[in-house]
Amino acid sequence: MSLTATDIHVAFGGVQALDGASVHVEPGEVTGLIGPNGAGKSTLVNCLTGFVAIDRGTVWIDGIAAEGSSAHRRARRGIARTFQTPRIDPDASVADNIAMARHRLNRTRLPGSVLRTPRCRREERGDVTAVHEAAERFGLTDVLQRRGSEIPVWQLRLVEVARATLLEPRYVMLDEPAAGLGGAELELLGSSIRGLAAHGLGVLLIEHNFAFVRQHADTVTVLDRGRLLATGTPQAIAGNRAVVDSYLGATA
Amino acid sequence: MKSLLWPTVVLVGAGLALVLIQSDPSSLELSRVAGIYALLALSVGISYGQAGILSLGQAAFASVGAYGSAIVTTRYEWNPWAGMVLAMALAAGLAYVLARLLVRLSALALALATLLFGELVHFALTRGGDLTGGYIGLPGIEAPAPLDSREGTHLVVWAVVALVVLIATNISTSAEGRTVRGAASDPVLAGSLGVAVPVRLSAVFALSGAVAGLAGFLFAHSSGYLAPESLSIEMSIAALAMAVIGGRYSPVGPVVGALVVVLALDLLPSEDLAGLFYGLLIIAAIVLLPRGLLGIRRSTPVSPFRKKASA
Ligand SMILES: Nc1ncnc2c1ncn2[C@@H]1O[C@H](COP(=O)(O)OP(=O)(O)OP(=O)(O)O)[C@@H](O)[C@H]1O
Ligand SMILES: [Mg+2]
Repeated sequence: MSLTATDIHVAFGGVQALDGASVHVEPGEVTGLIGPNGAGKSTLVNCLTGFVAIDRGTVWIDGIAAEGSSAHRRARRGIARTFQTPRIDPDASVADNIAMARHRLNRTRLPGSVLRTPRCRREERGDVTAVHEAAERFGLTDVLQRRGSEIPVWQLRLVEVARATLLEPRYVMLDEPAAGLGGAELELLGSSIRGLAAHGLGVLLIEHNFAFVRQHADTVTVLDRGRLLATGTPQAIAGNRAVVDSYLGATA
Repeated sequence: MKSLLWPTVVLVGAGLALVLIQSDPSSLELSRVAGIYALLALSVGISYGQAGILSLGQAAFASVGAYGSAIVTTRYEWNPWAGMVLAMALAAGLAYVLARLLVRLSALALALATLLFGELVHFALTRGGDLTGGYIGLPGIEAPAPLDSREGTHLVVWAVVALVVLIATNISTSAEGRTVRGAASDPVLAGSLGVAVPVRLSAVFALSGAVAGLAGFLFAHSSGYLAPESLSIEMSIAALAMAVIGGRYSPVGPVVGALVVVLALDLLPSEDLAGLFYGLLIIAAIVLLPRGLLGIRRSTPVSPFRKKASA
């Protein structure tokens, strides 16, 4: 049981975004994915989640090749993600933005909604409870009724993480969720990420702040120019010569 | 926005009751036309307001339903109410297939495709030989009670409008409405949340087609005759204008838009000005009232959250 990408190659026109990259996400663990700008981190997440077609290489979902499985099917199979540039409906409330993820668990579709069947009502009540719980966990209770356009970007990132967890996924890919977060929120996010792993989720965490990664990740994978540069425990990565030279530099 | 909704409903209801009490044939005829337009405009509100599909083919779906029912009732002696079910099923099925094929297109390409679909339907009806009656159309379509009287037609048409308003309300305030609006506004995000975007949007378009088909049935069986021009492309454009003017995100907006436009057209000195009139109305609505007369936003909060908020 794991989510694994091996030897992934992806080219955009002339740009070789991924050139043999690999990553492994284990249930119950946080895998940090780091590397310089343009290293291919987001592209790798796009490959894992089915948003980008792979030229060569394989994504394995619990040992089964994911080839040909579309993004929405992978989400239904329990792979959630956030986007580096938050995707929020600016017109809908934060509550409704988060609640959209409940579509995966709910079974009411158009006919049931038109007739407002008992199941429809029951599921909508369930949505409210679930959204309020998630909002509480990510400190969003006060902004639930605001519109997506009315809250700052750093908070949108938390909305994205809250929404992703409402899918009740087995794996969750977080693309720079901590960008722009201040001390208290960073703390909250870090403990929430640990909480997800403690619940048995496999978490992939893309992050430039190595201190944050070091604090919360169990293993770290480093990409550089589309290639796997190193993988290991945070301590090992912090001491890895190649990683320090190409990316971490003086910060580690 | 809620504050505008109920006064509007009461006002429209009172007007309709007055028309019924006065029982003046020309008012009742105007009410029949307005009601059928209201249904077409509601079908636009469902497809465009919820699923983001700007359709210029709603009258064509109505036409398909109307002809379907007219043919089976005049040629094969079906019961007209079975014809009604057929009208809705035909229009819904066609709409679903069309949307499944085309929903990935850009908004503009999709709109043009629905326009083309309307032309195709028109072409097929004029070339349908004995089956459709060609350019002349089909006379002698049975009017089942209560569609056999002006008062009965008035009542049935507006009862159906009320029912469709209820359906539109249930969609826009339900979790499914939230999903569909989200899928329309950001298909990438919706896909990442496990939403099968083309299926969900097509289902809404099918429902919108069924409403148009029902409008077509009511038109055919209350008019008694049907021609390819009866439910024309101009009607599709008019229905779009009505929905946009009244407020396509509101379940009542399209009805208000239909009433405003039909009453205004009735006062217009010449039929020839109608095209110009629609053009000006749409431009005025887009510039002055981008959300329509009822001023509803795209995303009404889904009902359970709204209750929680006011509690
Ligand atoms: N859709 C696309 N079309 C063309 N080029 C792309 C596309 N997506 C990514 N790239 C290119 O692929 C390379 C890898 O990009 P990617 O976004 O995966 O990097 P990243 O590691 O996430 O960087 P950052 O830390 O800045 O987010 C870059 O050179 C980028 O310009
Ligand atoms: Mg990136």
